[in-house]
Amino acid sequence: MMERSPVGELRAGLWFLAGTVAGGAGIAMAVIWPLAEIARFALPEALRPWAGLAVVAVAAAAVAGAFELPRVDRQARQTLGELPPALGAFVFGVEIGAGIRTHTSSLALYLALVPVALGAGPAAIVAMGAAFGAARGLVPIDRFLRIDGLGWDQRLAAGSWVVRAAPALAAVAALGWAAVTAA
Amino acid sequence: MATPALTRRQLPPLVLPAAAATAALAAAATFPAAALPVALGAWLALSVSASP
Repeated sequence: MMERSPVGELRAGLWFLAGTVAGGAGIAMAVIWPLAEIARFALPEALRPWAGLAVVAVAAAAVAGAFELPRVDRQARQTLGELPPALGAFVFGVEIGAGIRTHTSSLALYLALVPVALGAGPAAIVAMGAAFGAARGLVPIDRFLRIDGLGWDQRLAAGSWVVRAAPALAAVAALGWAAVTAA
Repeated sequence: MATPALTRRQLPPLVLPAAAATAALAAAATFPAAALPVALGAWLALSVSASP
């Protein structure tokens, strides 16, 4: 994906990051927002925080192994064809940010349904999606910036505090969102 | 990427995204309504990125 020259690599990295932000915001507005509008119509306001708590509880139970939820266990096409480098980096970023290429076993992703249960508005939903895309894009850039990508992989596999804490922190944010909605 | 060698150290994994997520939280604190959605999105992304 990346070009060889430092300037080209920087440009490609920025295009990639722009793509992940656009992809995250786009998938949130295309999927989460319509579902949230349906929930807003279907669920009485007083029930929405409880529905949000229920989503968090189900996701937490699945992460803990209480039962199985469907996982995304595939990867999309491995090449971008003959796209120009900047466009290729952007398209690849969009696919990563939107989850099209995602290969994940993280059941915490079900927490993305919390704003649906809460009947959240479009501003909050696009903020969540853009933040998802930004953080998703920064991970490979973080790896790329290091001399020892292999060591990075090994430490990641060994489990850093971020690895252990990320799902719990996401759940805390989701619970906070439900509490704010209830207030 | 044009990165000085001194900045390319053997830092723990995901320091940059974690710092970015923290910065996003601080920025979102300026706009309280966005703070929790931003935090949820950023930490979900790190959760997905860190999953095997």
